[in-house]
Amino acid sequence: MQRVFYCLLLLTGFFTAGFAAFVYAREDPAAAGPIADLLTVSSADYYQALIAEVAGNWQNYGQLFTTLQGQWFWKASLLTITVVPGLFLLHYLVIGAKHFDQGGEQVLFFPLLTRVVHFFGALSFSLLVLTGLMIVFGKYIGGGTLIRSARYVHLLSAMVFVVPACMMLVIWPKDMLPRRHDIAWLVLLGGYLSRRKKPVPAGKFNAGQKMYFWSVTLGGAVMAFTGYVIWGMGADVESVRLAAIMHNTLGMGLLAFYLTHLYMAVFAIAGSLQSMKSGYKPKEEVDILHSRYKYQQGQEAKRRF
Amino acid sequence: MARSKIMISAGDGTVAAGQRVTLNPKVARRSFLKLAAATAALTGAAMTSRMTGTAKAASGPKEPYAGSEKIKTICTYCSVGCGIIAEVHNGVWVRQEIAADHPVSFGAHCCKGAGAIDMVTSSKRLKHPMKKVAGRWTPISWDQAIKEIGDTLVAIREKDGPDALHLNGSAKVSTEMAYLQRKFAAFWGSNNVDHQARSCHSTTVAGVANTWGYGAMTNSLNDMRHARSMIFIGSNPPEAHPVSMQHILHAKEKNNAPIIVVDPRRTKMAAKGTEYVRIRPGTDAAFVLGLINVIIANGWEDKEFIRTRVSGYGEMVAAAKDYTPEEVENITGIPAEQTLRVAGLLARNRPTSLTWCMGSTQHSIGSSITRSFCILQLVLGNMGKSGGGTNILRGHDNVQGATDMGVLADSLPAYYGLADGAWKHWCRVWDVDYDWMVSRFHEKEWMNKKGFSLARWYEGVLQEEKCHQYTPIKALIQWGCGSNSNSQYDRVVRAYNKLDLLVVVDPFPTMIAATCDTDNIYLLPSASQYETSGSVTSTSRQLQWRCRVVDPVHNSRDDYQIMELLVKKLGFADMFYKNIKQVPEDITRELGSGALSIGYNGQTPERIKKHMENWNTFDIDDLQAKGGVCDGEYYGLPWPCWTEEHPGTPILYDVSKTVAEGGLPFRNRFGNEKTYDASGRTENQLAAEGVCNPGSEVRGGYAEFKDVEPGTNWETDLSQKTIKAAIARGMAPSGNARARCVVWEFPDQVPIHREPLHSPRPDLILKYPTYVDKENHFRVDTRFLSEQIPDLVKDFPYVLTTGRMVEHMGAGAETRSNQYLVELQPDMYVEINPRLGNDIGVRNGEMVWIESPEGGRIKVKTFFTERVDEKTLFLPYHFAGVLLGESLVENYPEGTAPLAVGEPGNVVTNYGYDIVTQMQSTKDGLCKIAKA
Amino acid sequence: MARVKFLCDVERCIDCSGCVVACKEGHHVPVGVNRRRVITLDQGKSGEKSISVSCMHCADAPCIAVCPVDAIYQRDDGIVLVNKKTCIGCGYCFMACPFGAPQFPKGNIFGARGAMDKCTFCAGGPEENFSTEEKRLYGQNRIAEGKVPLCAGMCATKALLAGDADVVADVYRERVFQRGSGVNAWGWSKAYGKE
Repeated sequence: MQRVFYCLLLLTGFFTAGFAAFVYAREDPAAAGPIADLLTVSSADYYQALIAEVAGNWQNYGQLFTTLQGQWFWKASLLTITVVPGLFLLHYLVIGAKHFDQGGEQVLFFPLLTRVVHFFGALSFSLLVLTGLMIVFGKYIGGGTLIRSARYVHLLSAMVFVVPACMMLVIWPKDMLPRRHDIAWLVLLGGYLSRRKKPVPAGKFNAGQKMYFWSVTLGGAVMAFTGYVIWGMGADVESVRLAAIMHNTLGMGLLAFYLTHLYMAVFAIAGSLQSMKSGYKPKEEVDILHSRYKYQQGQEAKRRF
Repeated sequence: MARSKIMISAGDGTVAAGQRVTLNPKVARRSFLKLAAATAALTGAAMTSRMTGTAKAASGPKEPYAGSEKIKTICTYCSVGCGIIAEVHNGVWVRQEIAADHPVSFGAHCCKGAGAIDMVTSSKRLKHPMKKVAGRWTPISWDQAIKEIGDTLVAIREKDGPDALHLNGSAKVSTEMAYLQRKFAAFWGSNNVDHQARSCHSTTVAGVANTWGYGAMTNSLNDMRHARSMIFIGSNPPEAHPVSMQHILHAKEKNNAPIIVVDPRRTKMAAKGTEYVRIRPGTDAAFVLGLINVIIANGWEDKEFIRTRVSGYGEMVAAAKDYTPEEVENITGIPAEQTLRVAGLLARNRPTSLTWCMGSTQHSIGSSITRSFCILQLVLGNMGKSGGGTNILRGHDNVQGATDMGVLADSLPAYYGLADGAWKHWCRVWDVDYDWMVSRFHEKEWMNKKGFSLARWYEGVLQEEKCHQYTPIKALIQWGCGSNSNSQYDRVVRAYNKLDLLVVVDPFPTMIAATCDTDNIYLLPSASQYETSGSVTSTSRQLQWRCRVVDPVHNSRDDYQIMELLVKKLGFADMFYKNIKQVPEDITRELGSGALSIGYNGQTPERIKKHMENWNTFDIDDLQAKGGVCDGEYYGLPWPCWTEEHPGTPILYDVSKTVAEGGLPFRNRFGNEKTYDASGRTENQLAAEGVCNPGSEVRGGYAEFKDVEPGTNWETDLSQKTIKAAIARGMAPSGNARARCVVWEFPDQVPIHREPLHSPRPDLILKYPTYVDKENHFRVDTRFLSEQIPDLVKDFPYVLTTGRMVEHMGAGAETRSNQYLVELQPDMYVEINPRLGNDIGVRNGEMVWIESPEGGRIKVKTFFTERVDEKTLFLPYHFAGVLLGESLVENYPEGTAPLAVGEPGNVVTNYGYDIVTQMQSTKDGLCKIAKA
Repeated sequence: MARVKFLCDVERCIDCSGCVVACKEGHHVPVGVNRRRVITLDQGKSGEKSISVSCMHCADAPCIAVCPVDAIYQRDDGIVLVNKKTCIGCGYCFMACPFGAPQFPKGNIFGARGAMDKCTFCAGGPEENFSTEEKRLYGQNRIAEGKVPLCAGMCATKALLAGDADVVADVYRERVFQRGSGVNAWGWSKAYGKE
């Protein structure tokens, strides 16, 4: 199994490197495109068309963008990365993690493919979050080459992330569809506000996980698209401004979710990180946290994903 | 980080007991805190990234180029003659400075002038002499090039005679070099020499000079500031003379001057004008005669001026009376009430400055059109006044100088013509024996015959039309002349490929290099005007001196050096350079000593250079130096400058000043009396009694001066005693005559309208037919009436006109090699009205084929604009490097293909030539257009 | 000292692009980057007007507000400059600018933009005056030489004015007055029928 995993890793590595080399080679700065591509007719004609593109109706999104980017995005981001972990820290200190019997019976919860997809997704998404934050707070880390590299890594990670994100949408959606019991779960807040180990209503994935799933995939798609627009300036300036506003706003939301997921995955449930690596959850955990999940010993073993 | 193993499912959901590593939450917390601490440290360290923006430390160099020189020169694009200050550091031109002191431009440039440095730095410059060997461009040495060219020329001369060579000289070389080009043709023994003026203002020079003596701009660009109204006919200064707009707009702003723009297109000039008049191409004379009609009908004419300084008035009025506003509307498309309004505006706001350019000159009746403009100004009494005048804006930077130096098939330098007297005069100047000069020609008669012109030299090669020369043309030297400004350009290309020898002397290879498929072609890299020195004459008749900025780059030589090599090889260097040792100053002196007719004798190199050193002392309004070393002189010593103390003549025909101070009456060039053919009336051609310059001994009109030195007149007296004697008596050596409305030497003695050869109005062809065909017009039969087919418009329904763009110059070889100008304007296109575009089913930016009645075809992109109306198409003529839709980029010598190529507009300009000067009628023509 | 400003007199601008090329030649700006552009409205129609646009060195510059790495700064004389070494090419300044002044040359990775380039008011950049590095990155530093920007100095019709805001405003005000707006539209000469 390990071999398969490493093969896949290498393959991804080659793929990324190859893709990077291919694109890099194409972007040879010495071979600038023919000048004729730059303009169609005369300067007057070009810039007449351009003025609408270039200045847009600044009052519309330009001013909004400037105000948001200048004042609010970084404040909101700062708030997110301090308050959210802060709340969880509080939770950890007060309520603490949930422990389940690791030595008891294990249930295969995450087949290999799931784990591989999740691994790549997690890695690239983490890089996205990290580099994104570096860009937001660039001026405090000196700008220049470091942040420029962060920007490039942000793009690379985005490209890598698309693959696992798409695959997630293929392998998980059935289990991620909302059910009636999700409302009950939400009311209970998943049982995380109590130290007791009482079964909570959740299928294979609970409401929180479902919300996170859809945010990351669909929200990620929006992020990818708006990010692409910003990267390539591939639209009129008003659309680019709007894309930047959406990207930053949604980004902050995803950041909050991400931090939540991190806390849940790493701290709030003891052993959940190991579960993600091995694929097995303690039966006790499944019975409590995913009480509606119908699993069968024999059949589960055959599941591929 | 602790290594973890991924558990392999045993198939039953249980896990084998074994190693299981979880991320110990305790460990995680430690790590988390460590990370937080690290972040804080980073945060603290990086807070200094915000710049405070105070001035940087004052240490370090005080200037970017220590020890650099600032050299003054003049822009080499258009005839405004903007000053350039070139900063040179260690022999390298590093940047252009702002020439804020220049009395005409005040530091201003258009996009071309702002990029003047590119002429020297462009990587597309021709670097070595090139020869086509077995179809491939091969660099050769100068020695080899000159030897081979010289040998071939001598061989052709021996076998076919000197008239087998045609020299296309240049409007872009210095005046000294232009003079040498004409001298070369004379010493070679042929009148087959011409240059760009033929297709630019040849009809102006002919028409205007025949009206009142000199054919140049009468006032100056600065003087236009004082106009109370202005009218621009077929002239588009924002595109063609951008910096002149400084002065034009000043008149508009300061004097509230109405600015009337008459043009088939709503041009950028129309955008700055106060009244736009849309006119059908080629009908300018009708419009102006209509204006004259209205003016006279209302009694607005300047009766006193007409009485005292104009001749042939009655005859003109009789011819003009048929051009009523209604008839004008029929011919031109201009509403009658607009004609009335414009006439009123001009009459009420005098003096009017009248300007015209190619829109009016490039017609088969160009020489009539230009005369009608002169007559309008005479009728209004706007001549010889500040703020008035016929302010003709010339094209290239030194077309005025080149025209003055007679690089023309019908004249020797300074408009002396080709008669024996002219030859004798110049032989005296050149210090050569007249009989020797005669012997240089095939036979004596060829000395007095006009040669082939720039407009139709290729007919002498192709021999498809009837030519009147004992030999076909077999050799061509194209010296500083871009070929694609010739109409019927496809015929030109065929001619190139038929020559025995083709020599191109140019800083850039030009389209000629790309279109010539044969092996007989040589490219000689000449230096640009920034790499040499000499004088240049602007459109305001000002002489300016260009100082050498840098040495000739790559393996190029300056024009003087190339001429010397060639002349030495051909064997008449001793005679040619007899009195020329110091180049170019001795040439200036030589040409000055001979060009007495236009008063080039007073502008010595020393005087001109002094003006260059003292730009700041010249007044912006009257261009006179107020104090300083040039005190009293007018900037550039505008010709005529009669003596070395004369200040120059800023305004021609101005009788309010003494001649010694720059005043001048109309020239006595056409005799003292004339009996008109049409009316039988005899009229005195000299000015009326009492009309003369202050201080004039003769208080009224007088003939031109002669026999002060026995056997000479003021133009041929090389001692210049005649000129000095005249000035001493307060009189002009050229006489004091009337301007004439009747030019009896021309086929239409009084200007009238005639339809263009290819006219969209069959009914008007009947009413205003063109001339009968002309035999032996510059050595080739030229069709007029037989070419004017009323039904042509059925197959070729749209009027075609051409023009300029500010980003490109002339044939475009230079500007299309400038990356920044190309970025602004990379593509050839056709301006088409959106309505017409929709009617023929094309969209903006799509390709179309345009075809001329002669079969010329080009494939160009459409550019939808309302500048043109639905019946007219406009083509810029600057492009080259493409033919019949195929790019010729591969045919250029390696590394010299221009950055922008396109179809030459002149492939589809029609057959048509002026009756007097053979100017090509590229501004009126017919075509058809179809989606490609 | 007072702040510097640009002003383009639309009544005089003839779309000759002298300012555009003066800037490009003077600073060796690569093709594709346009620090200054001329924009024409109503081309070919009655009322055609042109205006030359570049960075306007705004007093409250939006580009400075949005830059995530604080690469853009404003000098005491009002000139807004960018530090190309700090800039990461994110493009936010372009989104924030009402005039589209920030320009981006081609970068190297995946079509990324290079560092932002824009009109410097001929004042170079944060590097040492007249140093090779300054010339390479930003072009000439004419302000440090005590000279005027190239675009305004070389404007064909003196439409483009650049300099001390008070002086520029004065020049323009005089022109407007001269052209006959307001009370000068029906001045004495018209009142008494003089032409």
